[in-house]
Amino acid sequence: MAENDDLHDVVSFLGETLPFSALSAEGRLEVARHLNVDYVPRHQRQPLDLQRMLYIIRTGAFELRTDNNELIDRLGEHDLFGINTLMTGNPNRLRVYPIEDALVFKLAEAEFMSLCETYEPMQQFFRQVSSQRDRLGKLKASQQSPNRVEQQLTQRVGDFASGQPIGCPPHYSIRQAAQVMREQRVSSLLLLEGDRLAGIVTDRDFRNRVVAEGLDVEQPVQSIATETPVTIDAEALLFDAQRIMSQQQIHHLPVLTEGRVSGMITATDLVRAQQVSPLYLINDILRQTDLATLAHLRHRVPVLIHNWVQAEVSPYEMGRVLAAIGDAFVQQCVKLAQLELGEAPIPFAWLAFGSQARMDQTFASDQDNGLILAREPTESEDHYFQRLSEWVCQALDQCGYVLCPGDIMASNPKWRRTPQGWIQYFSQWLDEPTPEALLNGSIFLDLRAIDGQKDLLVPVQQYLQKEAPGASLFLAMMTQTAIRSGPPLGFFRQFVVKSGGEHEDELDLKHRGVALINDLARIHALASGSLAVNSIERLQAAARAGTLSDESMHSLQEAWSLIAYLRIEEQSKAIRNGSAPTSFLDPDQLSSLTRAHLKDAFSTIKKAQQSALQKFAKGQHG
Amino acid sequence: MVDWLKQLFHPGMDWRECRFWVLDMEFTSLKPREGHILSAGWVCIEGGEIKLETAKHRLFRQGEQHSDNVASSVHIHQITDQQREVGVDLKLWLQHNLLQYQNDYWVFHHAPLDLAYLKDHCKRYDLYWPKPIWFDTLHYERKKLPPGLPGNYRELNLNACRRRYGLPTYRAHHALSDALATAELFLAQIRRELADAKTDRHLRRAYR
Repeated sequence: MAENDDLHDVVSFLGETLPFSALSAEGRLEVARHLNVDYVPRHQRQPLDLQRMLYIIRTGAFELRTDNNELIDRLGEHDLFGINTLMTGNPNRLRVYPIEDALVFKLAEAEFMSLCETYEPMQQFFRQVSSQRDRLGKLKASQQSPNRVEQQLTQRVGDFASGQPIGCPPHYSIRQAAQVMREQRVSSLLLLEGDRLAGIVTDRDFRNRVVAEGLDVEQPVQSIATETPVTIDAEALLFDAQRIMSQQQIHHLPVLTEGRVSGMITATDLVRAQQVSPLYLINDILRQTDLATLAHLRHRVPVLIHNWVQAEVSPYEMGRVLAAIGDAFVQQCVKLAQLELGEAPIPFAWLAFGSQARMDQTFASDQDNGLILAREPTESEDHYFQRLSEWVCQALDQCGYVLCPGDIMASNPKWRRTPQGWIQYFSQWLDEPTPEALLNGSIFLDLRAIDGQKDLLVPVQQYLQKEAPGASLFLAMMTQTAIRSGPPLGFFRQFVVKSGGEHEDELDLKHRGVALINDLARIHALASGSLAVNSIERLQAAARAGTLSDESMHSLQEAWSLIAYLRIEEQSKAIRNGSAPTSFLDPDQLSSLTRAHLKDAFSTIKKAQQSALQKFAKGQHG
Repeated sequence: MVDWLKQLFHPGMDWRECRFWVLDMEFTSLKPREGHILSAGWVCIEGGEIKLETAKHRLFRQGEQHSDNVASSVHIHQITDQQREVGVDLKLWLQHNLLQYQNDYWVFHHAPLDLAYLKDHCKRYDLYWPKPIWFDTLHYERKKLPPGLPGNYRELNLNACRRRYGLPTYRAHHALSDALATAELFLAQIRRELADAKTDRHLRRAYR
């Protein structure tokens, strides 16, 4: 009687867990009957003694780390581990730590193997996962960071080619071949004898060799085909495919795997691959001569970000590339403005403040900018910079970087200064830390020259490097201001979320997340005399200078990365749903594992705030 | 040596080498003398792990001699008339299983009720009662409650206990689900709180 021993709870869990969800109900029951259940108490320092078996996490969480303790992945409910040990004997010596009390299902090697043989979806899945984890492990182990942002053209042809090759036997008539192409909606067709490639016909052949010549369509298609087409190996790079296509003036390349046809790659595939490359976008930005088309390019940014989120590119890396794109928009706007208004009368540089300077811009970023001028401008020169700034700020607004509501823009004469003028501002703020000075400090101390004569900024940076570490009152006040807002951590209960207003039950990932770390990073960087502007780099610089422990540095970086990632992921989702990106997150949407990690991140911030207070504001309360 | 002397001087064995029979039953009444056993679910712990291949579930044929008060409870336990008819014979089941697991440790969540039912039915059917050694996961949890606090039922039901160990919620009123749930709770108690308990003797002391 089937319902007698149905193991309902286990089977329905497997039904929601890859790859078992792909099995029939009977298949899942058979898997279930081979499982052993174990309870693993949380133990963060002691790795699990991995046996040769598959582990399925029922509840709880684990961390996957390399030999040198580098975090590779966090696993939670429905995740699996032990695959590498099973499939390849764990050559990278990955270790698994239970970071929460966990209930796991174990599938012993012999049973695993025989089930894999019975169930094809299991077999396929585990091969794939094993090679992925293996790659990840190797990358991390050799300390290389994958250059994921620029990966498109260095991807293997095989990963990008259309799966099933579409073809017909060579003896088909031209008409039959055309019908196959129409049904399959393809622009080319392979002539196949078994899996041997006997030729290729394309739309172009039909046009040039059939229609233009008035050929009888009942003739064999072989008569119009290219009999020995150029092919490419599945292991080749997209880059090679592109080179061959442009050299040979062709648009279709049959893809071979070990000499056999396994797919097709077309020029369209390549264009698609390139469109998502940020370098192409930057090149396009720098080529535009008209503001409307330049502004139009902003629509390509969300697609890029979406792809990065999918590829789990780190927010640090994303930030840097988004900054490069933002910089390109500024550079091109400044160029277009000068084309219209004439060359600038004196050397100057365009300054970015805030998020663009820190290179952590996201979708919802507004512009904060200013100018640094080689000398005091005359009245007519100042008039020129006024018009230039207004032109550029308006143009950037059209490019998607909205005008700064606080008027921190180059179009405001206050923020067009000589190096000496900027130093004056900073010395005023450092010496007399009024609330306004502190606010200005937090914005203007994140600064970067992004166009023009960038070395104009050097004296200002030198000044800050020399004076900021000793400005103890300023640092103390800044620390106190920074910690006035804490992370939304209600200890092991639930998140305290902003009360009142539109986002009442949501989590503010910006003001109660990344911004808090940005503030701490700024203070630490200033105190250690570092010129770094990016928060991740600032934390590293502070650790090198010894004002921050390595451990705090790492945990703050992890916290920043997690929160920034969630924020950008949420924004990317919003954009795809056609809504406006915000930094608010509904905590109910989070998986319990992400919740746990967020809690960790928030308590990290809390701790870091406390120790910053100790370090910088001791005896300066009030 | 006589059995009890052996027991006395035995240093105990690694609890992972022991077999535990985790049993849960559904009844028609909380009073063993009046009620009947509707179904049983069980699973074994061997080698320190729950073996799902040992998981079994049986519905018992309800004889005409006690079909009177089954109806209300049947509703609760989601057992249909049809299932009642296809059930197995309780006497045979008891005979077979009590013998098969007589040398194992038995585990229940709230042992007194299940034990009373088993014992009572052994007497009814004139079967041998093996005098098992048993562990009670509910009793263990109750002992941890702060003194002075009345042993509130809600805090000690299977799901409430499981939540304290981060264990998931299973379907209600199904003997096999409850047996598996009890087995997991038992493992969780041992692995999380009795990490130093290496032998069955340690466990018996902790569950006393």
